[in-house]
Amino acid sequence: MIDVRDLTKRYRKKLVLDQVTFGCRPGTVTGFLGPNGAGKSTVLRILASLTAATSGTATVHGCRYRDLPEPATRVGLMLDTSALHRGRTGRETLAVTALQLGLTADRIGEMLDTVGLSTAESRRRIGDYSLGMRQRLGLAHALLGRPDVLMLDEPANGLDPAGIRWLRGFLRGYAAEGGTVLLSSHQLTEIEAVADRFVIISGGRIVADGSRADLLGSSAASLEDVYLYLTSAGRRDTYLEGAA
Amino acid sequence: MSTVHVMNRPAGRLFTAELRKLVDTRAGTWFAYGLVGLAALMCVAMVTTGGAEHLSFQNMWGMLNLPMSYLLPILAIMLVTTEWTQHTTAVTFALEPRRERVVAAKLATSLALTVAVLAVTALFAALATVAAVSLRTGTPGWRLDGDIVRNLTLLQFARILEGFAFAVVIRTTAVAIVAFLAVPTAWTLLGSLVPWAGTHLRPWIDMAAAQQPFQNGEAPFESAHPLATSSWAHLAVSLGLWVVVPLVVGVRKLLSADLT
Repeated sequence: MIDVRDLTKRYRKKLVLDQVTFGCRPGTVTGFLGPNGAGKSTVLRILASLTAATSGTATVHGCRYRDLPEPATRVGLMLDTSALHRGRTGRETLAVTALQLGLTADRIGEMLDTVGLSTAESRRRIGDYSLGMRQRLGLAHALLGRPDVLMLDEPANGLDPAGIRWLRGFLRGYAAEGGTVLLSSHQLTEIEAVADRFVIISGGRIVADGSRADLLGSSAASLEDVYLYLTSAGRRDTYLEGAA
Repeated sequence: MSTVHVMNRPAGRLFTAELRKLVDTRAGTWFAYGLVGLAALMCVAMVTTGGAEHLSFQNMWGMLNLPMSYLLPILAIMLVTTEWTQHTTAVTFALEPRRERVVAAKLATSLALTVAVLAVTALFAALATVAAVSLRTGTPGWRLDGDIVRNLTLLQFARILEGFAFAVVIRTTAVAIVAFLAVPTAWTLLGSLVPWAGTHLRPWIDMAAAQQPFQNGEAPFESAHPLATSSWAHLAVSLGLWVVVPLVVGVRKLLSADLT
């Protein structure tokens, strides 16, 4: 469903992504992990056709996002929760998108219920929202067009523990129904329990890709140990050589 | 997973969404109220204090449109630049990756807004004329010259296109608005510093100067004057310079830009 192959991105002389390759299948939740600045958001933005790749391909449903007819009904995106107009109410934000997608007002109410935003909250302006409320609204916005692929950038950021538990349950259910989920995070603990596969990026390169069992092997280390080890500068290369 | 059967989205939906985005924020709502309030205030001022000879329908309609020719372009600028200042480009261009369509929808929205303002100010001018007849003049001044309608429409379209083009190329609200308001002053300055440029160059490159003949001097909209061929040429050239060039440059840049 999501296929990223040899993706390279160069901003002037700086190499931001270096031959990034991974894929996501229906029914799975892939955790895309890496420190801030590792290139996670750039991969997601290229997948959403917002940024052009220097070389390589990034496809969803077998083609570039921009070539999908009505892409928001195939791929749900939440890239940046500050990317919502602060002067608009939550409900109105959903209404404008629903209007573009030809959806009815029922769908807006349905999505507000799904993410747990009350009617009163939905009528407040986004400038007055907490980060957690913006995350919920962002998720409702991504889900509006009934996509079967979800790409979420740092969705757990700002959620309280109850919110994280709710998100975990929701995404597991979504994947169980055949959906494909790719979610990025710089904090392993936030997505450790929800993802069944982990793609770890560091310095623009994929340093690990696999299930918990794949990553841990026979070692007694925790996933956190592996993550921190892989993403700390200097150790990455020795690990990669060892794995090869 | 439920599946959705998708048909090609009618272009009108993008236009309707943009129209809605224009007025559904706090700033947009107040701006709209402000425009209506200003028109109402101006009507009251004209009917109560204006010289009786100026209280014709077409003069009042024209006068109402003068401040609008500064305010509407600002609204058009904000329609474009707030996508960047509010960081909503990712959402907007993910919903419609064909970026030229988004620009076209915003342009259509700006032009529709201009038509709406021309219509609303005509309504206010009509009400003011009725009031003026009963309170002041006694003789109804309902004459409407085709030339005046044409000049007013041209003026408003030129102004909003100019603001829109500035916004597409500049993309920062404050800078775009300042540039839009300050560029004419810069030409006046140039004209007084270099008299030759003021006489020979300015009519071609200064939008405000090129638009001047379409406003007929002092009592701008009381009656139409015949226009010289050179006035049309000046308008066309300055529009090309300040609307077509920035629009082409800005759209080209936008189509290939990496959005964050």
